[in-house]
Amino acid sequence: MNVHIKENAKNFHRFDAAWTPTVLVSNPDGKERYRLEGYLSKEEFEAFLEMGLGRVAFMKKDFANAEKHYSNVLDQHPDSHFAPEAVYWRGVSRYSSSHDHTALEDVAKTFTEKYQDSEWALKSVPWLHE
Amino acid sequence: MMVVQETIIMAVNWIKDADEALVRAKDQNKPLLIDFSAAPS
Repeated sequence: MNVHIKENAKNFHRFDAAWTPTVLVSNPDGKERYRLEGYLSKEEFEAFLEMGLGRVAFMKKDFANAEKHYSNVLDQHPDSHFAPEAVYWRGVSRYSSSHDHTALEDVAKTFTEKYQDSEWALKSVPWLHE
Repeated sequence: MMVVQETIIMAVNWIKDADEALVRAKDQNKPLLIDFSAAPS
């Protein structure tokens, strides 16, 4: 769906869009699951879309599909701005379907080797000692 | 031999009506992409 501010300004308020460009990925019921404000390169935008689909699947508790989308981000866009977040949520998706704590430890270990400066590395630090 | 790279730009058939888009997403059980723009069309 495309909403242009001059054609349909009321939908900006309806979906809490405060700036352009804003892009939302929602679930089939229209509930927002992922948001982008501002421009991205084509590569980064592709990664954003995959992250959005991952989030839609995760919130539906379809953890296998969520893991697949996050893996796609890492396979196809390993240098993307979204890659560290994909590492984090891929691990959480694995843990959520298996309840195997080593999935979270693996996330933290990954961040000792890659993406060390990301906020997602900080968020996973406690899992190093599980 | 020459390799020709062709860029294919696919048009997106955007739905403009929010209610219609929400109904179609729900009926088809598919995620919805919503693009808010101020760019000249």
